[in-house]
Amino acid sequence: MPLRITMLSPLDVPVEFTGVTCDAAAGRSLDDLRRTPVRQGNQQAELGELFHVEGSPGDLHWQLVGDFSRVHGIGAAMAAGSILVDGSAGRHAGAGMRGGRLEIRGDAGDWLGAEMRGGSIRLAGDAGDHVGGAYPGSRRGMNGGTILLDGDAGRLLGHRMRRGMIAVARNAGERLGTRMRAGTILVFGQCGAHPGAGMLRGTIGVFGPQRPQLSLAFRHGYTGPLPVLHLVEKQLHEANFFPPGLRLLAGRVELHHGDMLELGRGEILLPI
Amino acid sequence: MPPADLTCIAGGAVYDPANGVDGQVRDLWIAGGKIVAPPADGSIKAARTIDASGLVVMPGGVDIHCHIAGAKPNAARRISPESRRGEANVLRRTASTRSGTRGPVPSTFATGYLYAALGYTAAFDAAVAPLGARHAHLELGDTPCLDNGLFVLMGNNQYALACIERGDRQQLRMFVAWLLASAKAYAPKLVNPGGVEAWKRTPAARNHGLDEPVPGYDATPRDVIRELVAAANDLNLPHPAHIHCNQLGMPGNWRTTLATMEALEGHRGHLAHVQFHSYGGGAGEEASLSSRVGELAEYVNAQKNITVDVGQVLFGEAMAMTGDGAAAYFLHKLYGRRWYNCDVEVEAGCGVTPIEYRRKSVVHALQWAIGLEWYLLVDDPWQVMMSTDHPNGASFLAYPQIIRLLMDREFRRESLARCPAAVRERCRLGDLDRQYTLGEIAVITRAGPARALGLANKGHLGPGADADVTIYTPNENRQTMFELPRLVIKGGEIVVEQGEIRRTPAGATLFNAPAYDPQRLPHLEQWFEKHYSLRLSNYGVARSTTA
Repeated sequence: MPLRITMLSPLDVPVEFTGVTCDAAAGRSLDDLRRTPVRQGNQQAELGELFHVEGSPGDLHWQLVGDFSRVHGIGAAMAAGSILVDGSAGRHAGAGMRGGRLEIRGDAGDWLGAEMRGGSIRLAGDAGDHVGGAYPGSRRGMNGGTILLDGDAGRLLGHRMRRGMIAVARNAGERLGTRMRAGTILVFGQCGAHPGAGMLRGTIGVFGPQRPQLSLAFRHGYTGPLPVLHLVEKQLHEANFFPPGLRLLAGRVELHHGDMLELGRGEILLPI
Repeated sequence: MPPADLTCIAGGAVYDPANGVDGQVRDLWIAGGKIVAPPADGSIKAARTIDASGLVVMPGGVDIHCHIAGAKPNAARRISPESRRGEANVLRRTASTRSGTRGPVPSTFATGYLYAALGYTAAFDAAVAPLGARHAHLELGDTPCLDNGLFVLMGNNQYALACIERGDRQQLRMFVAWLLASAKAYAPKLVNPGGVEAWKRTPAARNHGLDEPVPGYDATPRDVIRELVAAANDLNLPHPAHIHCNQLGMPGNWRTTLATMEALEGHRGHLAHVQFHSYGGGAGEEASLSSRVGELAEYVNAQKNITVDVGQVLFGEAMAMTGDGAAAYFLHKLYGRRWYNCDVEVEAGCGVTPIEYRRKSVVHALQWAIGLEWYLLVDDPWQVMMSTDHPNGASFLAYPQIIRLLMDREFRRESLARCPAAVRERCRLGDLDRQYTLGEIAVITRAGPARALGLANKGHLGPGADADVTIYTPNENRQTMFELPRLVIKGGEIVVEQGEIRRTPAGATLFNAPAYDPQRLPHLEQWFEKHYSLRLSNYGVARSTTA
């Protein structure tokens, strides 16, 4: 029986969930899990005081029921198992995740999957800024895993990303893939200003109807089909991710190299 | 009638090298925050007795060279948020302490607590630009448990350079005295004398030699060193000159360091973080680095006017932080990490960049070995002092590890064996068998620095000394012993008990303000109003600003 964590009453003051994950709870008793310390604002509380916790902690499949938009760090640093949030999640969801699966049926705050290293995240709604990004001062953002967003994403998606894939079914904000080191970002709507600013390597595809204005530090390199995109299309298909424009991956694309002010080994792909 | 606060630290093995006590069991008497002579009348009882039997008693530690206050540590904190992230880097508040953060550059209050918990009761910030002095003093006021002071940058001050160019020695003396008083500073500091100014004017001048004129001046770095050191000695300052030599970190810089020692011309002078200045090898060729400590230590052994602190490197994350903007720029280009630079008007420079020292790197491991060679090759421990140039080579929290490396040659051998093989060929560390005694450790960590700084009341436990005492639990593992003092007493009060902070007294800020001829002031005033971005009346630090 999956473990269910249900909100007892709406939260006025945010709760910090970092470290409360299915893999960390495995092997503990239900009562023990209920006594897990969680920070609420400037106070320390117990998980069981704020939430109704039922089911088996040995089950690596968790369900979070209610509005968790004021709960931060859901699934952060988790290594295995799955968490389904049947509503919205707060900031830092899946941050530093190493494995397992996080699914959010509502929206997510900033820093979704920031600095994650593995596993997968699926978000049905919209995400805030810094999806798969790097925390201030970090040299690397996301370093592995997959983030699939069915809604919109905010600014600085994939900031300093190093590995892995982020796909956005709708629009992404400005500074998409800033200082990206490697990895893949696909946006099937439009994106804000300065995509790929300072990127060293990696691939950004923007497949929405409105072409982004590329910086002069990107240089056109190729026009035609890219067979590798077939594989990506298949991968997204298998993940039940069907954004409008998915079929454009199979068509002809324009490939631009950049950012020439940096290493210049990055690519921005635009459909024709 | 004995004083009401008469305290006796009874039965400890006392290490007080300044008074020739080397581990003898003694009682130590304290009253009014000072060490006092044992009562002549044997029937007098102490109001409080601290049983130190089986324990080791030393004066409180004195750090002669660290960077803990003002603009540079702040820049470092700003550009390295990642180094303070996570629960391990958080110091939670307690009933007696404020919250703070650790990392290579701890926050102000945390710096005071961490130093105190290590048995230190005094620390000197080694490089503050005069324009940053007010800020530094305010931060020292927020750094509890430590008596403190700061060294003010002079070696690239354009007014000083102009005096030196004109050969106007009297005006230069007046300026040194006036600047110490304005900044409420303890000692003059020379950082890459003339070289920072050269770098500001000609970006290629990273390797500016000691005998090349500073661009725009008819004076060389050698002139700057000679004249400023002579001026400071003439003023009878307790710590006349604290010198960061030119060409820090450059292969082949040992000749410049030797030339700097010679330029002291027999005057008292202290060479800071000398490890970074003892390299053989070709200029501009990182890979050719080797140790030339042997030659330099031999010179120091023959010259009693010279003291050095080491600037030991340890492996891990550190933060390069210096008035030598050129050196920080060089590191930024070398490692590609963030860099902060400040051109401090007409008086100094500043650079900050994170750096990670890796054992696998031949260069870094050599730097580690060269630092240890300095401790082991200077014969007289009164001439060599413990420092990591915190946070440049490592945190001050690494001092216990250095003590173990010095006292335990097997531990040192094992550490060296884990370094790349090339390191053993390019230095003599593997051949050095010397082991420090506890008495010698007491010299390099408290008595020596206090004497070099001219602190009559610190670094020893004779009557009249400040009652700053650290009591350690002996342990074969000297790192364990020095990491966790049993008791730290500051001004007669227990400040730390087995790692727990009990009290957080504000430290005193020490400074020197020698007299000068006021007739000479108008010339400086006119120059100041012409060249500075602020009025002279807003420049000097008021006494009330200092802690």
